[in-house]
Amino acid sequence: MTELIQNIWLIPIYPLIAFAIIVLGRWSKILPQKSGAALVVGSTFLGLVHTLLFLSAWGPHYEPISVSAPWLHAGSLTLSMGYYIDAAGMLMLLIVTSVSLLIQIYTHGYMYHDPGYSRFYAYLALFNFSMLSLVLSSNLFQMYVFWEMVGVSSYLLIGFWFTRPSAAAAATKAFLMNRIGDFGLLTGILVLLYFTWNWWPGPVLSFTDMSGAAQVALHAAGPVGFTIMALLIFMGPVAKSAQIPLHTWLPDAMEGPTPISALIHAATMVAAGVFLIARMYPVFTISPVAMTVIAWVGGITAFVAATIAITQVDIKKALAYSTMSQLGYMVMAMGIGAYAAGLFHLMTHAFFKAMLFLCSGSVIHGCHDEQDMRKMGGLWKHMPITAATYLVGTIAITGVLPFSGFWSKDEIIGASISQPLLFAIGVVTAGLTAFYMFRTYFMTFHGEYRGHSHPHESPKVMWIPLVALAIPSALIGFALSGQLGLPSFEHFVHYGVSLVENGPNFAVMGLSMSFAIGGYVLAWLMYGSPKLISPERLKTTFSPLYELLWNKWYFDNAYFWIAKNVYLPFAALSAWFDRTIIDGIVGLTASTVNASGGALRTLQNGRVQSYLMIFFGAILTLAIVLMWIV
Amino acid sequence: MFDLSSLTVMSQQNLFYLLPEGILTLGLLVVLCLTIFNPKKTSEENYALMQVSLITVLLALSALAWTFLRVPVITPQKAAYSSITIDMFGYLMRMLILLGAGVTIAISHRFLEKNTRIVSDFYVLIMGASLGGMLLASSNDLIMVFVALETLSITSYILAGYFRRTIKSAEASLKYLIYGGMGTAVFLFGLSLVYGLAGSTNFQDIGIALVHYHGVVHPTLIVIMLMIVAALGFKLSAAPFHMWAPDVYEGAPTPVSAFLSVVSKTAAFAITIRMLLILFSGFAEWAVIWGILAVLSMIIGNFVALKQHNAKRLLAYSTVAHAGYMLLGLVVGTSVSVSSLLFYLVTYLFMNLGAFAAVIAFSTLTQTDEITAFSGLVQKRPWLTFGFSICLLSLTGIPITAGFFAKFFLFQSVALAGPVYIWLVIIALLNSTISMAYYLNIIRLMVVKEPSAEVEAISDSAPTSSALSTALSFCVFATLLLGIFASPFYQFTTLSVQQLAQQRPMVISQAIFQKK
Repeated sequence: MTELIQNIWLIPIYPLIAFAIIVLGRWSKILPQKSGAALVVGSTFLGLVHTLLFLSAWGPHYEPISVSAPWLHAGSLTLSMGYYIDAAGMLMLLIVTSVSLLIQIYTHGYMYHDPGYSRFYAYLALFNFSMLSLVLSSNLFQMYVFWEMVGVSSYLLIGFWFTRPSAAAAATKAFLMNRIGDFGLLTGILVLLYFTWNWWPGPVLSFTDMSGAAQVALHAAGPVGFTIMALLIFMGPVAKSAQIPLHTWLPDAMEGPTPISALIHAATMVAAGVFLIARMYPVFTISPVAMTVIAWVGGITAFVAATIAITQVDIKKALAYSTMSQLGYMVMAMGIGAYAAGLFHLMTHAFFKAMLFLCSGSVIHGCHDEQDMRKMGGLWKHMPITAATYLVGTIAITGVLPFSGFWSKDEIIGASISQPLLFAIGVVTAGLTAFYMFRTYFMTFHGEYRGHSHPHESPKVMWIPLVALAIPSALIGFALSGQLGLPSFEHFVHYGVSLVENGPNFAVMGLSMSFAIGGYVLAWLMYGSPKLISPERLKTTFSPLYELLWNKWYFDNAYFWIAKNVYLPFAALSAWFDRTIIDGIVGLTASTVNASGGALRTLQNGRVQSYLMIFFGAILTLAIVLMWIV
Repeated sequence: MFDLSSLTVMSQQNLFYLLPEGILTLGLLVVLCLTIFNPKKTSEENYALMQVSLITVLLALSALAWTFLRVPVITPQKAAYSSITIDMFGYLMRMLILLGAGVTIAISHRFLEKNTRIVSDFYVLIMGASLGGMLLASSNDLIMVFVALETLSITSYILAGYFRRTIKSAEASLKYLIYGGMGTAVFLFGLSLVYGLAGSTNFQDIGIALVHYHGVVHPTLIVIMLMIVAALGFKLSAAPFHMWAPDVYEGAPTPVSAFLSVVSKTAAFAITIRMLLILFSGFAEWAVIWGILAVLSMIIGNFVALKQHNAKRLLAYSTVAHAGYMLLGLVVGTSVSVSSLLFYLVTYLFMNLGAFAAVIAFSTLTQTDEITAFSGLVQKRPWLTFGFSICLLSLTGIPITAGFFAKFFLFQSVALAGPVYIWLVIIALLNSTISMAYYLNIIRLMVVKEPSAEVEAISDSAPTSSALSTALSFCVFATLLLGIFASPFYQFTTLSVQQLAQQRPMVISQAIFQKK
């Protein structure tokens, strides 16, 4: 069993090997066309088994394990690579391997007829390698390396259908938005490193020594500097987890194939931002300002995204805003100190949101690549399994007892009770969540079919993963809530002494659930069978509000305006400066050199007589110079 | 003396060490006889003679390596009545000269076949010039210096006019002869004055005799210095004694230009370094003279190269510029700087020969060596473009090629020698920047531009000489190898300079080498 523990670094290596085999095998045309699934699913299965075996060998106290080896020497700095695993890391490992496994199986059905089938599996394997390495990173720098690598995988997968201009643009947008966040993150890391340069007792930037380093940095930088540093680091998660104001890439990222939306842009990669906050908790917790900012960014994102989701007609975009909103909950939880609740929600969300996305993929597949919910409806009859699992997911996300979202989300809302405004946001957003989720459900599966094709249920390879995901979506919250006599989630995953009161608070739960039920009723009235309230009438009545939401709070428009009116003129000015001033100086120098070259060339007139004149003239001149100097 | 058996004489005079020169002479005579007694040769026979010459050079190289390994030179040895010194410096220089000769023979065959009917004489002359260069590199006596130098020079005059029916080639030869004759006259005059002062032609004796003049401004000595500098500057093609070089390089057959710019220059540097370090090491005035020559060479070489339209002429000016860089090592004269200079000489041999080989390959294909004609070459001959580009990048001094480390070591050693030398380094760096413009321009043309009419006309089936492509590959490989594994070669050059230092008159051993 010790081999399993020592060799946990192998878990990311399995998908890397699968990646290499696919790339080399397809390149040399040895590998058959459709062998990607077997390889990648196999590697992920191996990873899952390894994780589970590790878990069983790890107990009973679940002490964090950290191993590092020097990797890069640069002057007095030595960077290390290694692995660090604690309860939060274990949680992420389990989520990534299990959700990946199911999604990779599903992909075989979804992408079967796509010409890029093998390429898609190669990217999936690359992503798995990067994500698992990120989770296992032993120090912040290593994490940053893999943070960028998941970004690259995400970029490649968003732009998977790169011949579509919209996919290429979405990939570029995701890349740019994440660059902004990564710029902050890297700057923050460097600032942290600057203040703690000679301090590290173990490997530089290792997570095991992070709390000591945070104290040293606080002492060296002062509270203001330290807060700035913490906020710079927070910029990374803001972009990666699509928090306001760097969120606009996530809805566009839905241009990628749906399995990707489920895996990367719902369950795993976007959660990496929350995971980074968890890993850097020692830094954030000692800066009250940073914590407040984190909480508010999360809360505002949760609310704004939920409001935008209300107006979406594209099923994947609606789910994307829902993801953003739920990530907002998690970030808010981190900001108010509810570490365990945030990660708990991360886990439940990973299961039900992955499932919801896969359901949407099944719907899109069944309706022949139709994503507009206005052209759906009545699909319950045609694809019952998809509809049933979608309903499970919807109930789970809305937080209805006893489904998993109920336990995790209400734990966050309960923890925020000491901050009334955030609490109010949490409760209202819960109501909005119920509304927009049931809206998508009713629009898609109820009523009459409004499209023109012939919808059909998806093949077995696609619906089996849906059912498999439905089980944890429904039950895992209750199982780990501490109500069943089983140990609670917090028993495993916690950060030092709890900062806020944790555990189910039934008064809060009642309140948020009544809001959720209110949302459900409203959705049923508007989109359910009787259609008692006409959405069209509401749209005209609340026209300005609707416009605001329909235009996604004008974030994209604002960014375009800034790009067009600030950035581009500045760029033009810089270009002008470069062309006229800088190039002018260069050009002047060049023409001077050229002119003198031309002048010197005239000496070379081809007549040997004058050459000899110069020969002796030079000797004479040198003689005079020497006499004069010496 | 002749009552001794000739074998005893040989062993007494260490003639064993001159085995490479012996082999070269023998091969030269064999090829010469075959040439004379069979004037009208078929192309196969010419090819066979080329192979014989190449094998001779390779045998001489092996003999060089064998003698070097057989009797390690721990301290410098004298040979042939003290007229020859055998030391590591000499070994290094002789190796470079032989390598240069070998590459020149390999790259010239197809070119000669295409342009003239008399092919094999060329190899005789190349071997003769190399023999002169090798003796020059290890000579220890003024008479030997002069004889070896003339062996090198006179064969070079003939080589420059090898295409005697071409007016340009004949003109180049004549100009070279007149200019060279003047240089020789001045040199001989200078040497006779040295003899007059020192009363001996032996380097060690002269060194000891000149010790009396250290620190004294003696007009005769200044005249001597200037005359030697002028003559050697002519051989090194250092400005302002470079005027012959562009005309000769352009007019002479391209392989000859390659040979002159590399082998002849290496031999000239060898004797310059040897004389400077052994005879005149105690005189500070050299630094000023070489400094002036270095700066002028860099500036004139690079500035005028910018304006050239012809690849051969461009390379001619670029050799002037490189001579300027290398002279910086002499200006400072520390052991580090001189060994950096030697390292530069090694890399220069490969990168410059490689560049010339590429020009020869190109002009054999297209009958032109105008720079604009190189446009779009990558589309027709990608490997030739690659090899040429590597050599040009190395000449510019771009990292991972040897040229970068050569410049880096040399400029660093100059900069570290003292604050007064920083200015020289700044001038050198500015000049390398300028050189980028004309070197990289060729790469730009070859890679980016649409093919020129000449390049379009290259047929895909046009043969490439295997000897030429091997030689070019060898140069490119060496350029990259020296860039990646610079330090073993650098250690060898350091050892060479240490052995040179041992041969100076003891009295002044602290004068220059203790500077740093």
